[in-house]
Amino acid sequence: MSPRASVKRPATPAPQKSDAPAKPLWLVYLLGWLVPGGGHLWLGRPAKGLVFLIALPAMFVIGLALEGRLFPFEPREPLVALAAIANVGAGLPYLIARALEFGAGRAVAVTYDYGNAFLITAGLLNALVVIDAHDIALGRK
Amino acid sequence: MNIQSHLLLMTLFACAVSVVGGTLAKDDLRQQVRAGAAIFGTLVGGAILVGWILYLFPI
Repeated sequence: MSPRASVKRPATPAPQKSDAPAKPLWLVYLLGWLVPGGGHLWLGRPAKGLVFLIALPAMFVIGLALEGRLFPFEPREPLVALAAIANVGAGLPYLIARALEFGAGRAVAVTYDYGNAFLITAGLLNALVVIDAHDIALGRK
Repeated sequence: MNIQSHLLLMTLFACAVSVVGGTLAKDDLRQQVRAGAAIFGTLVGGAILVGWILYLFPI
C-alpha cells in the first residue's frame, strides 16, 4: 500500500441545513419594502440592512427637501405613472410623506429635477434591495 | 434645501447611489468599497464627460 493511498481526503462538506425555520417570503418582501433594509436585518444581515436603512430614507428625504414631486397615478401619462410606481417603492417613507402631504413638488424650483431623481431612485433602489433580500431568503447568497 | 450647485447635487446623488449599489453588489467590505468607488467614478466621470460633449456639440 503506497503512502499516498493512505492519505484521507477530507470529504466534501454536505450543504448544511439550518435548524432555523424558513422565513415566509411574502413577509420578507413586505418588511423589505416597508422598511428599507428591513428584510436584510430580519434575515441576519445587519451590516447591509443598516446601510440601506440609513441611505435610502436619507435619499428620499433629500428628494423631498429639494422640492421633488411624489407623482400621482396617471394611467393616461405613462411616464408619470411609472414615476409614481417608482415612488411607491420607497415604502414607509413614501406612505408617511403622502400622509403628511409632502412631495407636492415645485416645478419652477431649480432643484425640482434633482429632487425627482432622488425620490425615484430611492424607490427603485429599494426594489433592488427587496430582490436581494429575496435571493438571501432562498439561500442563493 | 437651498443648494443650487449642479455639481454638488450630482456628487451627492452619485455618493448615495454608490453606497447602496456597492453594498448590494458585493458581500465583502473591501469589495463593496471598490464596487461603490467604481459606481461613483462612473456616474461622476460619465456626467462630466457627457457635459463636455454637450458643451462642444450643443444640441
